[in-house]
Amino acid sequence: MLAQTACYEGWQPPKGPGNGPSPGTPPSGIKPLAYVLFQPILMDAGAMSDASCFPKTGIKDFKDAEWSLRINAISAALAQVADQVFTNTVLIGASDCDAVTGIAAAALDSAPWGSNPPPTDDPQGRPLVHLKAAFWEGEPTAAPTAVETTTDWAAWSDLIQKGVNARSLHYFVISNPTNGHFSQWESKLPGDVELTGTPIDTVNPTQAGIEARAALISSDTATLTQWIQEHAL
Amino acid sequence: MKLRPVSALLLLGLVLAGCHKVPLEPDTGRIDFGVAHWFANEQVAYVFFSLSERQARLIDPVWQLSWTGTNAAGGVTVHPYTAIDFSQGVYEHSATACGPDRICASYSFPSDGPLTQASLRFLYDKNSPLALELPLSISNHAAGLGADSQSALVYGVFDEANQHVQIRVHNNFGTPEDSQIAAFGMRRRFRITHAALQDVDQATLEQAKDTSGTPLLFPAPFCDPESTGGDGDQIISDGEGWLAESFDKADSAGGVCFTSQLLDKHGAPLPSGKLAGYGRRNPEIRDAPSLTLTTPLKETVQLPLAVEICPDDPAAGAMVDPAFLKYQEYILGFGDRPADICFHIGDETGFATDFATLAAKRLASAKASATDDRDFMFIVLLHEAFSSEFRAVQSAIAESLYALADDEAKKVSPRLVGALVYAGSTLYQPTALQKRYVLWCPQDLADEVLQGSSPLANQNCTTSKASSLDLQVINFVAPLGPFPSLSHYQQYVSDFGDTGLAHSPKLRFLSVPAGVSTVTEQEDTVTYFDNERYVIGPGEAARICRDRADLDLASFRIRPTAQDAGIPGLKIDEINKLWLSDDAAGEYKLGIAWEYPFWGGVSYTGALSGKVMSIVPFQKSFKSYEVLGDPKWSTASWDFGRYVQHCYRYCDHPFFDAAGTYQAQTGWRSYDGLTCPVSTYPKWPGGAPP
Repeated sequence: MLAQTACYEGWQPPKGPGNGPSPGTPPSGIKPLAYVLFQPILMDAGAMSDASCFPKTGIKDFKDAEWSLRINAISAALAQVADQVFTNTVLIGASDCDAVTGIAAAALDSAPWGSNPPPTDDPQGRPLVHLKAAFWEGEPTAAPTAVETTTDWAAWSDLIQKGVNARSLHYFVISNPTNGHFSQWESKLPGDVELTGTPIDTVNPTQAGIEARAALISSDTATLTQWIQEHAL
Repeated sequence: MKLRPVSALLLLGLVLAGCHKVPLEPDTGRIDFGVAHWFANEQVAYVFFSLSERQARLIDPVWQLSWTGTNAAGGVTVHPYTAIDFSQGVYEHSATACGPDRICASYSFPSDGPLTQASLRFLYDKNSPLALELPLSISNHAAGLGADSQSALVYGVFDEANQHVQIRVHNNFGTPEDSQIAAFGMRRRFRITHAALQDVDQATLEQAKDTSGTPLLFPAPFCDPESTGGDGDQIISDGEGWLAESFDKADSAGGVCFTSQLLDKHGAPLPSGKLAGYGRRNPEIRDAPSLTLTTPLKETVQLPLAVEICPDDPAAGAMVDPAFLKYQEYILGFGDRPADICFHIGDETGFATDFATLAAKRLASAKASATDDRDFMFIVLLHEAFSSEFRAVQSAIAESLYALADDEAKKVSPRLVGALVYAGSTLYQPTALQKRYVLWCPQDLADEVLQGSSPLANQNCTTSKASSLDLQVINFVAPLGPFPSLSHYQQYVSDFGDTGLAHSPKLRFLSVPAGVSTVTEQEDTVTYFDNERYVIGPGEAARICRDRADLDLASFRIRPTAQDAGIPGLKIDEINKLWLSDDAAGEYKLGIAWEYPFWGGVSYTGALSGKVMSIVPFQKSFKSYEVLGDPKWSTASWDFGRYVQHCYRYCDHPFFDAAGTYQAQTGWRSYDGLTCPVSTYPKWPGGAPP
């Protein structure tokens, strides 16, 4: 009995080692970052549905989608440059959407990575990055607290004091800013630890607007990823 | 023969695969059926039997019967096997072929006492010992007046005119069944005398069923078997026969009593003597008279509202398609009407408030200037190009219109009855509640439509793609419907120009007037018609024919004229319970339940354009009409009568079904099938009895 061989015209065996990288695989070699804790800061679903927190009810779905797409794109992009990437979102509820005390609480959190593995010193000395990213429409009126505007939040400050190669970075995408909470926070940070994304201040509600948003997010994410690598090392 | 190796192997394989042991069985015939009955009333024993055997094996066959019985004196009489002489039976008997290689036969003999044993023997040849034997199953039937004591139940049925009576005989052996008796070669005769009309109330008939133990009412305890009145004296045989008499139809008596006597083959009466039978007149059923309910719709006054993005909004440039806006204005008959209200992206809450205020103000103004009681419809042009993530503006419009119309629903005319919105896409779907009053165009054909349980609005103003058909010789483009979405419109104009767009549109809406005849019952709104009543007289009944069901039928409601308005009318599936009861008599209002308070449509001229043989331009215009609203109202009138079968007399009597079978077990009134019986009656042959 002969063994059957399944094959068809056009099929090629997968390339093994020595045949060169297949398309889509990351560049070979060590990733520049050892660990990234990504902490998006945004309103939860309840706050988004609360007209006092988010008055522009008509663009709610658009903004929901925008921020969700941004966070997913950043997570995916960071995974290309870091061995470990963990996301632990700071969600602001409807009762806190103006005071945003949740941000200050997060700044004091001794374990902001939540249930994810904590950062540990990298044997190869690569940096551990803490990326705080605020996504907001308009701004809360409450001024930011000192603990919040400190470059290194509590847990990262501890790491740095222990001599670990750790960096704190900030990212802001604030549509229609009003010189409120986030603008003030941003202004208190040294220029080399914060980056401003391109906000969508004017929403185009058509299908063309959705397509433009996708292109913008792609561009912004690439810029952010490049900036992180430059400022973390 | 010499087999080649391949053939030999194949044969061997077949033998090995297909060979299995088959038990040997004797190939002989058998007596496959044999029963004996003895009836004390008649003092006669009956034997029914059959043989399965090849005809060729029957040389000079003989049937023999042995039996043991108890005589009147209490002694036992033993009768050894004796050849059956079929000519010596109490009744006429014969052996007949009753299937391939099968013979059936019967025999009867006098016996003044019950049987205790009986056996049959079949000799293949009277000169040969080769024989088959079978002990018979015995049933002795004690004397009495119930049906169980009678070997024959004699009853009457009427022809369609309820004037002539056919006497029928039900052979009451149980085994074999009535329908098999003829095959066993038995023929009995009955003398029928003294047939006369007699009215018997239903309670007595019901009681007689219990007394006699049969729905055939035999013997009929309410008829006198010794009656000397009435007419006729005739013999019936072969199970049925018509009486020569004609019974007066004008006489309301519900049936005919008669006297029946079972005769032996010589015409002598059996000891069972005279017994009374009864034949019931057929229920007098007819389709109900035609009852035309005329639609109560009236023309509405249209209130136009144009909604666009505010010109100063940064997104205005992307949200306006001037050509499509013109088309929307054209199809809705807006002309160059400027926008009544505009919206800003990001300020949808403010727009919701402004729109609700504007709509209420427009309605109030229209009411103030109304000169008659015509109702109002908002016709809203919403020019937009929202993507799927934007629904707030549409939602604000739908909700405002719904709230206004719902508030108006219980007011008397003139009032707002609903709204039509023509938007730019099918992305927004109103809620189920909003759909009660707001017709949102365009819409995709929803999946639930295909499942057959859809809200009616889903079938309205579906967007139509610009389909292109190629029939080889004629390439043509199907026209757009009157309410294309923006994307379909743009695609169509890009591909084919504007030659297939709807032209000369005329939008028209009618509404159901609000008044005392329109009431809310449970979850339905029902309009009762003032011009027709359905009347059921004393003793009469009526039945809704569910087999004639259609969309209209499900919408009907009835309520007794005198019933308090607070009590809901009866739905179709509740009506039979009342109309088939003893309380059916009365006068009833007829109504129709509806979902949308308006109906209308847009008439327009469409154009079919294309090319013949791919080069010769071809165009054909045609008139078309797109229905909007509740399609129920597209019916100008409804004939309620076509759904109803009315019974005028004898409603509790059995009826004939469509196959001509007499449904003796079930009166017409108590019949619980969904269909209305359509009877096939026995036909009176006319003239002298056959």
